[in-house]
Amino acid sequence: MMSAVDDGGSTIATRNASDDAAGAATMVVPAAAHVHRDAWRWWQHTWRLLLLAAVIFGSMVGGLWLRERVWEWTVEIRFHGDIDNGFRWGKRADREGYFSLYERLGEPARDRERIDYAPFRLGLMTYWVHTLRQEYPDNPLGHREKTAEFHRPLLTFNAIMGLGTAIGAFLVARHAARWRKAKRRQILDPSPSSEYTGEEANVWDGTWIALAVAILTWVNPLILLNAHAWPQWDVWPMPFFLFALYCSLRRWWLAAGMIVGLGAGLKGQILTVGWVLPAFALFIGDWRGTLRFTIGIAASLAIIALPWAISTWDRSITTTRAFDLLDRQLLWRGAILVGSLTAGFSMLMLLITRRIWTTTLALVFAAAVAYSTYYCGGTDYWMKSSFVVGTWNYQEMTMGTTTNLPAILRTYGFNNVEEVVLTLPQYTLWTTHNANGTPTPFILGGDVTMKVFLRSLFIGLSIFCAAVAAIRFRQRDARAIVALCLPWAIFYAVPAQIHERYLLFASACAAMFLIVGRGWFLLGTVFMVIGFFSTLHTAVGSGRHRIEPNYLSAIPSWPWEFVPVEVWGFLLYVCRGTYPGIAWGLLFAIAACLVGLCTPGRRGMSVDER
Amino acid sequence: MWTLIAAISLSSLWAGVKLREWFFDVTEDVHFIPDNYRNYSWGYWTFYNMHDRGRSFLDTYDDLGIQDRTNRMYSDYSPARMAVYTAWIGSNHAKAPYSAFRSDREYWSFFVRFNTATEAIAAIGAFLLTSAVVRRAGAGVVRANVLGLLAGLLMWFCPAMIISAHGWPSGDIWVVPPFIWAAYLGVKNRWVGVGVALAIGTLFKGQVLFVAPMFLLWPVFQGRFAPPLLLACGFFGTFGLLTSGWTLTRLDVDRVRHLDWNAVAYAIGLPATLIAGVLIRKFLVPRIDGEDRNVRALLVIATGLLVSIAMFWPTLTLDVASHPDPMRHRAMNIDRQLIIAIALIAGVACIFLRNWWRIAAAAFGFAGLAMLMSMRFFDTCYAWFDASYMFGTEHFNVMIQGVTSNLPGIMTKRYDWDLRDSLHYVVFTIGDREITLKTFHFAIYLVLLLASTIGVAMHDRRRSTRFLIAIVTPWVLFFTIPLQIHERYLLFAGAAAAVCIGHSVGMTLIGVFMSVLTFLMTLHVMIMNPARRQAWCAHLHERYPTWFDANTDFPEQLHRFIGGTHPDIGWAVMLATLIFLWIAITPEKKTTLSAD
Repeated sequence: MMSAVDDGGSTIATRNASDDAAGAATMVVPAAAHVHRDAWRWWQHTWRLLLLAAVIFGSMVGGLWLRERVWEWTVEIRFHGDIDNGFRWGKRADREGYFSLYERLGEPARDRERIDYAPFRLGLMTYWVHTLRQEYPDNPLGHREKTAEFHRPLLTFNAIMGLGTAIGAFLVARHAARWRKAKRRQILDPSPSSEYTGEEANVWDGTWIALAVAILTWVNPLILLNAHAWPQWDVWPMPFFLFALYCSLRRWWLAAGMIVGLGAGLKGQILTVGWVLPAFALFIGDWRGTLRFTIGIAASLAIIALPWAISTWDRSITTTRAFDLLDRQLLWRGAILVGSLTAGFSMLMLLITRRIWTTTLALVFAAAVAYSTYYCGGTDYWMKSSFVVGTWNYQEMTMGTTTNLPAILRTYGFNNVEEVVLTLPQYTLWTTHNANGTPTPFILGGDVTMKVFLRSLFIGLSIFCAAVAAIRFRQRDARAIVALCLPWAIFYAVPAQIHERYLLFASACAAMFLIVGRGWFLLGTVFMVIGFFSTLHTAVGSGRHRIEPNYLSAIPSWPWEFVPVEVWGFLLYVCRGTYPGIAWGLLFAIAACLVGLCTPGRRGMSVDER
Repeated sequence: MWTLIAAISLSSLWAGVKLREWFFDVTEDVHFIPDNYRNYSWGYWTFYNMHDRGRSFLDTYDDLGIQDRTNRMYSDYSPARMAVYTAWIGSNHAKAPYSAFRSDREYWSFFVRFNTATEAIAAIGAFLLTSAVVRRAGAGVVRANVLGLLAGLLMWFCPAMIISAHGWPSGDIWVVPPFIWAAYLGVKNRWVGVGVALAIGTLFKGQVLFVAPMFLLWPVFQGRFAPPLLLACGFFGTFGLLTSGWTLTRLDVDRVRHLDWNAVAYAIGLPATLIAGVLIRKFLVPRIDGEDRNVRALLVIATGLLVSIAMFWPTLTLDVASHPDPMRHRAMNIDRQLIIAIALIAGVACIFLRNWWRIAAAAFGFAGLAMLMSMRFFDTCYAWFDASYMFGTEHFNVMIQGVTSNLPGIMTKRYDWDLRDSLHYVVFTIGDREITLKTFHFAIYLVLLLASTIGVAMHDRRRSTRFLIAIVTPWVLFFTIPLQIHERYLLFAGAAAAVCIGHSVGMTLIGVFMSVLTFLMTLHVMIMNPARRQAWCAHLHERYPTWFDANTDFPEQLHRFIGGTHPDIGWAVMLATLIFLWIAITPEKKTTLSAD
């Protein structure tokens, strides 16, 4: 007899005399048994499929309905600054040409107008305004209307990104949940040729818990608040990160890198944590994976950069279209270089080996685009605007009502990110000479500013997470997922210049903690709650002057009448009390996660023990 | 292995004692003088009343009388605590008669040695408790003893205990050993011992009573009803016996103490009645001729009823409502129904008790109970009880006392709840009864205490090491949720959490966090006075001139740093509390895969 006892102590698989008897019956009447088994199997799959479809449909409809309502209920606390900004840039790109706008603005500098929008983000704003012009031809769009219809493209895109996040969470969660089943099978039956069939791999393994994770992500209050009440675009990188995470778990490194690169085209923040995935590849001993991931990012960025690498703003054209690609001046040298190099190398590699064809193609393409950008007349203003401006645009310890370590440090009087907090011994690594012969030493060490110190702390902790993730991944322990998502929480908690909304990134991953256990899920919920408070604080605080006392009681046909009319005032009161002190709770939660990641797994679950 | 354990223990003992001496010396200038002076004053007053005026130790409370709640001069010292301070002054008197208050180690030697001994007892208890729980969870002897040793060392070097006992110094740590030993005896199924440990703890610090219900209900949730009764016997017996100096005596008009013979008779009569009932049931009833079992059963029940009536009889003559002292009337207004219930329990006990050990325990418990009830029935001395256990719950009518970083602390400092008035804020009403914020928070605490007790029972039954977490959880809750809590009271959780090493490193680290936080909060109060910080600067420079220059601002920076954590670090404490509670109330997953 062979048995396995699961968590609740119940027998999950038993092969005993009754099974043998059933086997004997199979031998006597094989045809009837097969028919019966097939019918049973068909029914098992069918009812599950029906249930799955019903749950997905219900949660989809419910989630969309909720999103509509969130927009309606929060009209008084809308944070208009961000959406006005998007509208302004959209209008300008629509008027002056989307592709040329970066070149019109030129090199980003503090003393002149600058944009910090990544290309896809600017493209979406341009598309939004462009559709508005078509829908409202008589409207000069001097100001933004407050209706949902006016913002429909953005809200729809936010909802799609929310859905993408949920799907990504589903895939990752299902993958990790199946590890446990697989591990159990491996412990019970290490020999693939064994006749043991007590726990066959099943297509439904891990599906239901993954579905729960997806639904929790889909209706995550912080995502709803951010994407449909504020509204902001912080949810955009999350589907890309989660899909990249999924690809990394499957070791599809090139795809993972490309997905992260494409995500960076929407929001550059994905790069601040996305690098943890190649570091993870390195720690599991797959240095080729790290390389492929990096090439994947480069290739994606090259795809994004292509319009600016092989064409440039044609100053002679005064009137232009919104998407002005065809109005631009083609850089022949760059275009030919990119085309020929990419085609030539891809053909060559096809002849030599197909094994690394895609990687080589991506690498050559990225290199060609980079060369064209810097040596054939292309421009990189888009890249500087997307990824560099954000690092110096807001030289503050915290932006808004962020509840993190820098916010706590502010209470101790540390208000300047450039303040020197540490002085290290200096080492000159090498010296370069410029055209005039002036030496420029490259020095390691010296004064460490608060900004650098906090960033270093973040990087150090993230590397630690990647290392732990590698260990857990080798053990097929679902805590690997937590370890790979935790850097998002550290990204909010530790560095300076962080916005109050950025805990959304960690919160979007928090539902996946359910795979590890309920306790872990509750710990992940802490990120959601703290992020919700800090986001709501700014939203309600900024909209407070617009709130009419009887606003909520004026909403007809809803059961909210019994809610105190001063609900926003109450929420503001609650949020104010959490600022910035709740950051201690956040730091504690992160510390608890780190400790939880490092503790050994449960006894009896290690494959090695067998 | 035992040699190694002994060697490590002895060397740690030596290192710990030296560390304590050093810590006392280095913090000499920032000892918390208000408390110290109060301790000195009450010890001085009691000792010299005994020494010069022929009064006894027992007379202190009665000379004090029922205290005015608004008076600045008060005593809320329980008997054992008062005894320690009196002995401390006595030991100093032997060295230098009538010496004035000083802060040096020589003057405090008796007190800090007593604290050191208490800490050592707590550490031994932590060792025994942890090793016993780990051992029964299935670990080997070596692993159990190593973890036990680590728990003992963590307790012995606990920063919260060291600063409380040797930095402040106070007697708050006296709560810890009785609690740890009660838990150990509970694990070993020695329930009378649990009661004795809790009673001794209560005599030192009344805070023990806040977690005592856990020990009472833990076996009840396991479906065992004898242990709580045995615990009650141990508790009441010990408590009654050790306070019998008050409960069996009264002062006459000349303030001379006399034995109250009614009380003595009641204290002897109550257990005697029980024993008599048991003897009748055990020896007399079986000798009655006749084959009818029903008759014998009726006789047994009649015996029980007779015992009950005998116990209840004295209360019929009482007239509580007309008692002249309103404070006493309010505090001692025990319902007659309760008396009847106790009497009935005695009757039932007399029917069912068969084991001589248990009969003795029951007699011990009823004797103690009789002594305590004598305060009400025969007007024996009561002031000691009021000062020790009633006054403490009322005289600090504030949301938080000191710089406590907990839920009420956050409510006060961040949500502008009034420090004094909010205590009486009516949250809601049930019928005519108004539920104030104080009651509401305490009710939440009780509910969560109940939940963690269920966890204790569950993990004890499953022989899980989560038992160690569950047993500590009430102390964490006690600090986090109720009002009127001192900043030092996280000490109980921080010190007791040393036993969490038997469960996991992660939970131990949370315990260490709480211990360090208690250290900081306690130090915060100690260095709050700028003049004392200045004096500490000079002291540090004098002791360590290479580390601290003459103008060192280390105390100022330290004060600024710790001040920045209050009360916001309470959010982390609340999260830690939730983690403790979660682990305490959820069953441990036992994933044991086997293939034969």
